[in-house]
Amino acid sequence: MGLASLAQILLKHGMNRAGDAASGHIWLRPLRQPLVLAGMSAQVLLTCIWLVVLSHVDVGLAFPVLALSYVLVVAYSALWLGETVGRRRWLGVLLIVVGVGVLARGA
Amino acid sequence: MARRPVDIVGAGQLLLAVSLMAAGQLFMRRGMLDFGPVDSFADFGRLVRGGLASPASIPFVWAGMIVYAAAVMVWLQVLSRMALSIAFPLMGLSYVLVYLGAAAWPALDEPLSLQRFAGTGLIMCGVALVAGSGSKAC
Repeated sequence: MGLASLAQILLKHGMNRAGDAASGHIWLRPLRQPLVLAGMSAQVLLTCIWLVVLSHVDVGLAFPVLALSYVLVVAYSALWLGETVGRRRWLGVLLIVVGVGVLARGA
Repeated sequence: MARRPVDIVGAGQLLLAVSLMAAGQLFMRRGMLDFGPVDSFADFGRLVRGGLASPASIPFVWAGMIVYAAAVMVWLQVLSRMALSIAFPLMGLSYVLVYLGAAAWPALDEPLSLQRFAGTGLIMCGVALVAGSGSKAC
């Protein structure tokens, strides 16, 4: 099993989730139809990709890796939206990254 | 957002949502174990077309997706009762439930190891920190 490609799939999934979360933010503003539709089709696509991942990897390994989407959301809001990210959040990001690293080493 | 006190119904709903979410993941994994590894676009097409044409061909996958959808519905109920800053970090419980469930379900038979336990625990704490700090910088 190609671990590298697996990591890529997971990362891609996480990035897509981040995009999803970003459109979720916009969702809170007045509803704009194309975004809602985009969000829903993204969800369907992601479910399909997720099933492909689950056909290869233990769910106990793959599911926690989804937490990387939090990392991407925090990075996105800090780097592109210019939000202030507190120390607590960065610590959380660090824990998630280390945790995924620990899981990946055992895979 | 105005904070509401944590009530027993809300706590119950939260537990239900987290459990359903974990169960959905376990079912989907079980279903994909039955289906086999998806290695090509041909496999992928077979999965999607076959799954839509005859849902009974991948029963666990569909069960997982339906249970997951139910989890989302319950989660929306939770959000109407609880402050997001309390409810969101607790979603991390689903990692533990998936980990333990995947080890306990003989069909999945995933290993319990110190390494996986540590990794899952770290991620759960990290999510709690990220999700719990709300929108204000601290």
